[in-house]
Amino acid sequence: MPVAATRGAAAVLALGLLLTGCGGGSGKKTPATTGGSPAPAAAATPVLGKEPSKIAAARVAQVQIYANPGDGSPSMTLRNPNPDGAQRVFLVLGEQNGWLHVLLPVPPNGSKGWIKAGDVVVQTTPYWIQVQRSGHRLTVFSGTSKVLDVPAAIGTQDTPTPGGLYYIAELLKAPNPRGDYGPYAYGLSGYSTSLKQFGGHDPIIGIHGTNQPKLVGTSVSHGCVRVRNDVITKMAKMLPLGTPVDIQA
Amino acid sequence: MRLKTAAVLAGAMALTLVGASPALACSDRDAGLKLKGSCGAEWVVSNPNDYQIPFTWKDNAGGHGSDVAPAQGSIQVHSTATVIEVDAIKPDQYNHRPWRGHGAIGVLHCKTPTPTPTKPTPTKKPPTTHPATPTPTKSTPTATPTTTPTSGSAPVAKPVTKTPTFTG
Repeated sequence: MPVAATRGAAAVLALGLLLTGCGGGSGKKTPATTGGSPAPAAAATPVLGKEPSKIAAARVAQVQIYANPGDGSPSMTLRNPNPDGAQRVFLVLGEQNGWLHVLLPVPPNGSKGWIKAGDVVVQTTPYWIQVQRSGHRLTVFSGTSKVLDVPAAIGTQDTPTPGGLYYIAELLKAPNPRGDYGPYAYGLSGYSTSLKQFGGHDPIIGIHGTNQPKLVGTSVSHGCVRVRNDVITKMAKMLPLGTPVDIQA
Repeated sequence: MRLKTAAVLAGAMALTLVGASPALACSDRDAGLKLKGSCGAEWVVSNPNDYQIPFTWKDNAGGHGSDVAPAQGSIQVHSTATVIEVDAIKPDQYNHRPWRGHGAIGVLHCKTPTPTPTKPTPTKKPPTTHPATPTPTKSTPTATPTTTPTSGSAPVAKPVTKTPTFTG
């Protein structure tokens, strides 16, 4: 089996594990479902690399999240744009009668919910990111083809990068491209499982550049994934919001 | 409302239109929203700009709502009325202050009501790769493969200039 196909299959497996409550670096939590939303059917899970991923981009100022399709009242509301000013997006896991089952950018990691299809525009992307923590590698795929395969820094043992399926929730351009985060930083839909907050903010996991390129390839971060600045710049010019990120062991 | 309008006469499948207006005194540049519709089908709002534009809409059938036109993309408005107006909202201000006069209006002239065309939905066979599992005893909603029409490829993310505060 080709390497790419093998990795694609591995991603599917990892995703399957996540959705059945056995996956991810945390490994101990059953992925949350907002308000008791049931896990989607296996047929509804996106197959990374096999088919384009579907991304739901909000077209309303407030996106209502429901625990079940058809519920009369939402379990939560997410503003569009998000607090950083980025358009609110979701990774689509499946659909039922005008409702979309989506991965949510809220803790705990793996939270899912249902949104009304009319509240979003659904678009697709062939891109997806795989982070292999044991190998300290970040790979960008387009379908089953590797676009980038580079070394990456991950979290330390005390502040690990949590495993599981996430997606790119926002892209920030740092005012100081030579700072800690490099020129660009992606905010993912996932959160640190070891930190309650970071610098007074929610401990959102990111993928970003660095001003310490010599540390790329080591376990040094507070949970974020760091790549060289030229790499994050390439990614910033390529990937859409909503791109799936599969963080493996 | 002094908006540039245009109408295209047609039969059961009329095509429209158009219009953005710099008519009112306003220092902002035109939002450039475009409307396209056909009898019996939902209106489509197109946004040629490289940034999203929220807008409100109302039609002559009592319908109204708000949406966001994606950057260099289009969205359907859930209205099949013959007349519709959209008003752009400043994309950098989410206080719903109108971008006065910078919207579009569409008019259709339909001879006869045309039912919304329906396409037969191809029956998808369930995946056969999964091993047999016990039939759930409780009826729970489960997701099925997505059939919502997609609006093409997702565009490259537009960065927001801001100091990151991620976990680093």
